[in-house]
Amino acid sequence: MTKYTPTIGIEIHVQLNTKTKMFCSCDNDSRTAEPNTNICPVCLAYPGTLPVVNGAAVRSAIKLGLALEAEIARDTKFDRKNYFYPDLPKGYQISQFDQPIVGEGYVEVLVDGEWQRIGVERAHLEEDAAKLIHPAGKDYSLVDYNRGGTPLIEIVSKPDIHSPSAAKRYLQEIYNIAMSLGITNGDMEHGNFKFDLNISVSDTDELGTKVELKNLNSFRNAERALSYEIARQTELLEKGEKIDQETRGWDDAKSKTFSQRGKEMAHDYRYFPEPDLPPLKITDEMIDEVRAVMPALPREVRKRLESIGIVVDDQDLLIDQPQTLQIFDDAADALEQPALIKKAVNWLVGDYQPLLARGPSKLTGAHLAELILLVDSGDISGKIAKDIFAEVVNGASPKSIVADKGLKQMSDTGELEAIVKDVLDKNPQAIADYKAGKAQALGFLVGQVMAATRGQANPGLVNKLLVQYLQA
Amino acid sequence: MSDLSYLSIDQAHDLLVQKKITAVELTQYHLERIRQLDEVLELTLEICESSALAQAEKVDAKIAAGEAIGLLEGIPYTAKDMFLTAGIKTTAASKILEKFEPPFSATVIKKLDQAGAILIAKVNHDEFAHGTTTENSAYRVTRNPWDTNRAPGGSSGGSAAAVAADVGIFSIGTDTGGSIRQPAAFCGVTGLKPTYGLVSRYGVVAMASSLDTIGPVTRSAQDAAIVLAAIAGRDVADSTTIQIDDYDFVKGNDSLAGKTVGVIKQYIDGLDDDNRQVFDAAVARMKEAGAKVREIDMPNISYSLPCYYIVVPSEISSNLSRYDGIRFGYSDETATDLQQTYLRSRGKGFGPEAKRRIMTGTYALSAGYYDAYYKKAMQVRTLIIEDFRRALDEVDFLVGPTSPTPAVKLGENAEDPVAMYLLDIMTVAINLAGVPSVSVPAGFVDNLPVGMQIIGRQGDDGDVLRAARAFQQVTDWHAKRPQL
Repeated sequence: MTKYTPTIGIEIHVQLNTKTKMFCSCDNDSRTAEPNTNICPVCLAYPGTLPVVNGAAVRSAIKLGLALEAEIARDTKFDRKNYFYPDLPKGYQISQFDQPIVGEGYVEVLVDGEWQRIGVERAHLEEDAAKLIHPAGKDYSLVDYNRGGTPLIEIVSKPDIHSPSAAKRYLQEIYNIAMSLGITNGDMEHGNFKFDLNISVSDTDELGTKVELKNLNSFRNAERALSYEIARQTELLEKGEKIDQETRGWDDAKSKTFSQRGKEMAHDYRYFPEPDLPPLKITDEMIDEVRAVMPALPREVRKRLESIGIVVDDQDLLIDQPQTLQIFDDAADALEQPALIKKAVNWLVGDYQPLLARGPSKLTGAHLAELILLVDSGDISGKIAKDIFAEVVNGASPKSIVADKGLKQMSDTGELEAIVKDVLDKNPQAIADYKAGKAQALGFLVGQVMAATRGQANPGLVNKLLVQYLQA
Repeated sequence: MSDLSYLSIDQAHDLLVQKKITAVELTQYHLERIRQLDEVLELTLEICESSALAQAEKVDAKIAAGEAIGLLEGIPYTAKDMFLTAGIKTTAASKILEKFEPPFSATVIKKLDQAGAILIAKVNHDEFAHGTTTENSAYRVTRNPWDTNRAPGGSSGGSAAAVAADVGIFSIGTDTGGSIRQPAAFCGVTGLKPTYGLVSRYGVVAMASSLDTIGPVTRSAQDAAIVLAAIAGRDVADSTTIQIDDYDFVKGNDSLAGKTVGVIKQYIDGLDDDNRQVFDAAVARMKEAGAKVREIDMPNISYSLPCYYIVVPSEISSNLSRYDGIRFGYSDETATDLQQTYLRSRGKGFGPEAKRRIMTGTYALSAGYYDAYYKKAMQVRTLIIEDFRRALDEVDFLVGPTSPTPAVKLGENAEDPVAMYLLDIMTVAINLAGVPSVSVPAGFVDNLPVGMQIIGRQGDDGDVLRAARAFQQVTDWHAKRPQL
């Protein structure tokens, strides 16, 4: 174990899925739009245009703040962050500087079986920049202003994170929170959820020189890049070398970080209060309204799943799939008994996953509970249940499938006895074999009974009846 | 046909309703005034002849059909070129917007359109409203109708000169530090800077967003009230607009009897003898009309000009960043890359004063200077707001001269920007405080008109206009006309 402690801080940008943009009424969903079609004079920064705050984005920020157990600022305001860049039509970004809407908060994450609290410094609202496109081999760049003005929440963690696995857990937790709140589409490939990692290592109480890791597109790569960086920095320090303050990227193929650019001249953004927007008052009523519609948060769900004995991997899967979690919750309500509820988890993390991967699911919690109860009562065998599961996922009721196809397991002793007798009558040789000590003869007879009942007989019961007769 | 010269809005309206004139005749008269005077006074940046006549015909059709018309229907007006006009060139008197045709109109222009007023021309002003003489226009040097060797004031110099010369019955201007009131004073007309937020800024080229106001330039307080009633109001597109209780600026008690008027000590202390005498005589008329007059000490006003010249350039430096030669306006064609496009478009597109303010503002907002300049200026601004609140708790109105001198000679301050800035010394504090102020003609010094401001509480624009109307009932300076 190294004597160097890593310290990690994370900035996350979440694109909000509000209907309109942050400061104008343009459609905020440009996933299928042609470039420069969701634009207007306001988001193109025409002379004379003015911003108007999107109330839905403010509510999203309040939601997030409540989920982070954070103080919601009653007096918040917007500021101008001034810099020249072709993706910024006004020459400034409207952001929040010294009065962010969300103050200090935290998340609790389960890291290697231990609950850890990771602090959030602040979260604020701002607008996204336009998208720059650099056609290969051309001497020009193109600007797509569709993205310009998309509402963003920037979430800044405290430097509370000390391992790559905790960093990954933190990222996943914030992502899951944002998803369960429904404030983002969460499409990481399209930049709905982006993050920058600041990492330093030190063997003293003072923080070491930090390196910024940018443009990571998955939680797994974040974890890998951080592990690589910790090893790299530790090695340099152990050799008595210095860490350069720089921005590094992640090369997935080589599994390495690489230097992107050195320490830049500190940017002077000339922040000042946005004079086109009066300070924003957040009232108790606004917060109460948001609180009233808050869904269950990942942390609460995790604690609930943990309390009924569901293992961490299965918790992760259910939290990652809000719809699956909903099916689980509905099934669990109907099933009540812990042993049966665990069966529901097994179905959902097992057989259900390949079917879900294939296409949209119509599975309901009620149907899943029904299926589990049919097996539990002995009405159908586990095998039949598996056979019909695909149809259940397609929306059919297990009970009606069983009834329509006559799949109900024969557990009626009287009915079965007649069939058993009939099979025995037709197979004297097998009886002789059994009595001669050939145990496999019993298996043959069971198979005959099952065949005669087209698989609907309860195998345990058949076995029991056959043994009774043979030993009589 | 009746005499169409120097009509008030009420007079023009009556003539239209009584069918003594048509809206087309009235519009033609004002277009003819442009043809006669534009060469001498250099007023316009764009003349809207065909759209004006088409609108006038519609008004005449309405009258012919026996329909009732509003007070502003068929009334020709001019607008400072800071107002976006859909499909009509809007330059902000800058090269950088030389060929800019906006895709939409300012809220104010739309409201005047809906009220039936007829835009006959976009008029000259200082580039992006930066100036006090209109000499900073990238296009023309507008003359003062009272003395064509003198400036009309600024930045809304074209508006004030046009109204004084009977080109259009009224004009609309913008006032960030005196840009309506000071030219109104220089040209002997009435100019109102409303309460900040009373009139929407949407579609008006921004100068300094936290101080920009929009108001009428007219030949009487009554006309100003009529125009203000048409353009005031909360606008969802401008989050800084406010809602007030009473938008009826036209009616009410016009008497000054029993009103307390405070003369701002800091302003009269700065006057020379001639200007002081004229100002005192104007205040005496208020007394005669029944007002109680006392002096008011507002110590923090002394800091208003330095405070203003930090806050304003700071906001300007940011507001002018959008002019980058990419999406609209002037783009330098010799540039071969992005950096050059920025540098050359802005280098050639902006005039010297705009550049000066961009540099001052960028400096004031820079890390390490922010606390010493911008932040300190905002603290001073708070003190000035407090001064006004306290003073207006004690008196009904404050009064002071609009400018320390009458109209300056053209070229007089060309080499000295600070001398130019000093012409704003009596107006900027009012913008910092956000209160309404109307400049009314208040006498003559050396045969040049001078103005007096009547200042009221935030949102009390109606009372300010009623006081101005009462003052104009007992004086006739506003009825004097320049010899042209």
